[in-house]
Amino acid sequence: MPIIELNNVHKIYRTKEIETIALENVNLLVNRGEFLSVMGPSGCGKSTLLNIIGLLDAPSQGMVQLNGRDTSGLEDKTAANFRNKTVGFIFQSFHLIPSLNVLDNVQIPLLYSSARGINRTSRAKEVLEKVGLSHRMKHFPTQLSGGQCQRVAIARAIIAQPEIILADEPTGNLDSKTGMEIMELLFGLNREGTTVIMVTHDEHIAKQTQRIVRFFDGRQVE
Amino acid sequence: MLKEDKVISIISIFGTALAITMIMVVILSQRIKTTNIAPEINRERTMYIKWLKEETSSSTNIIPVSGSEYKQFLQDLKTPECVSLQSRQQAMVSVENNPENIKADVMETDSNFWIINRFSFQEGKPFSKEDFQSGFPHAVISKSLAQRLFNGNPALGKEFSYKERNYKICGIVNDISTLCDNAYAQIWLPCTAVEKIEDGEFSITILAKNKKDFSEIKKEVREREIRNNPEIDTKKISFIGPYSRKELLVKEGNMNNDDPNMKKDTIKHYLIIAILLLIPAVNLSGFSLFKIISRTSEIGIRKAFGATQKSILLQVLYENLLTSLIGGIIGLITSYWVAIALKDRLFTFNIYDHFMGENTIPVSAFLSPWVFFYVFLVCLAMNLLSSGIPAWKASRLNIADSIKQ
Repeated sequence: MPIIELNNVHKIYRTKEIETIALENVNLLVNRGEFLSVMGPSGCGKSTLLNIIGLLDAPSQGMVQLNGRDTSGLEDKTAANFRNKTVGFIFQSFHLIPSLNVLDNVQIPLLYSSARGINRTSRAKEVLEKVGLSHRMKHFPTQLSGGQCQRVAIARAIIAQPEIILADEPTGNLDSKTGMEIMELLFGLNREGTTVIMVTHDEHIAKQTQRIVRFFDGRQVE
Repeated sequence: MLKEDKVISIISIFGTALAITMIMVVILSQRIKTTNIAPEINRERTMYIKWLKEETSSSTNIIPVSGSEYKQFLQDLKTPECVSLQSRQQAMVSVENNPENIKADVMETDSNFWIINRFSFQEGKPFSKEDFQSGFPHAVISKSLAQRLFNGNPALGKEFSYKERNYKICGIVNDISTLCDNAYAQIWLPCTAVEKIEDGEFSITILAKNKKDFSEIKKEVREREIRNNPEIDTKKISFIGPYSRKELLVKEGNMNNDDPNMKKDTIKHYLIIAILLLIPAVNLSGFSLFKIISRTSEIGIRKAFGATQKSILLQVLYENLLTSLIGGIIGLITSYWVAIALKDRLFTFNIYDHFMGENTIPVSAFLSPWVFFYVFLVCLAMNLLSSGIPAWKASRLNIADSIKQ
């Protein structure tokens, strides 16, 4: 059974004046443990696809299934539970909370799960160790380099041990060397069994993944 | 979340404290001027006439009430329990065997003054109705002045000199706070002992049997004006008032306006108070709103990692409750300090009155826990609404859009 299944997904943004089709008739199956790259020019709907899979946005039409469950019309609490336990997001611009230090940023997903305080801290230290940032726990995002911020974002994405990692251009704001280090972390997670879907512009990086899906003007072209 | 953004949290706490302080001080200044304070224990059923309007064919003047007008129009009003007259001035007094001339606040009044106000006598008693009628030079003085005049020696029955006449001390009272602006003085003596009533200028105090009689008293004064204005073609006298304590508060600084309905004055007064109260509350709400709007991205991030709308809302409300509570406590303390520091400016009817005495009543006596509770409740409600509503809206936004903001 695929872990992610998209059937006839459309996403249309409407304003009073115009209607923009971001995704058109997208059908996609992603198997458990797969590492998938999503490629295409800017504005072709890659990030929208990721947002829809991660329940950050809802499709205008079509069905999205996660772990075999239809996610359309989910109650806020159930959708939040999916975002908390099943999906982990990594953003191009990191989206760390600037007023929180590294340790507190990483713990955010556990605040909304049943994990207790002491377990939260030890688990956060554990994942920071894994991404090689245990020596920066008390630092704030502004005191870190771009690569370090992305490591914090990865630690935050994996702390609740989600089955799916959605990475939206995770190396887009990083130099090539740091980008490769981040990719190594993602490949490591994938080897451990996590399904990874990554949006990227980098053909070289995409070729290292198991499958590439290409988009153009909201349509899946490959 | 409080510790997450310390600067914002501190500003929020002190904003709440400042708003509460400002509102408390405004309310306090109103309460002090209308609540009963000994010896002015009948404030709620007392009315005042301080000025009258004299109209002739060529001019209109606002002047103090003269003794003859008091006798002609007001002395024998039927509706009130009693009518009293007062004239206050600063003058030098002296005693034999003490070469020092001492400046004192002197009130020339009548025996009804002791009915309207209840003084605490250390020794002796007030001058009597007979003393007043006969112009007998008896006087009541304050304890601290007695000590200064007689160097701590017994003062009852002794004499002091005022306006070239000797007065015998018939009573010594505890010092009166300057907050009791109508009863305050250091020496009280029969005005008839100084000069003929007709020659003096006075403030008139009217004690109603019941505050429900206020309109009846006003009506009687108006009737007297009509009946006792014999030279109506050449000179017309109309009193400004009588006004109750609350009406005087409304008319503060606007004695020339003799609008009998006082609608304009009342609306203006309460509008000013409302603005004074609203400014800090609205500022606080604006700040809370800004705080939440600036956190829209954070709300999106939290939701992306599992926060529900409810948990976001509860978090924001909890944070605001906490900042409001801390701000409330600081506000209560600072309002007490501000009230003490500015008491001479804030709590007198006329800041140009420079009394020799002091405000001996602690401001804390007027700090009602209920007033604080209601003020706190208003600030809390505004805080919660101004942060809760935008937080609720932000929590319902599309997460992808929130994160981008």
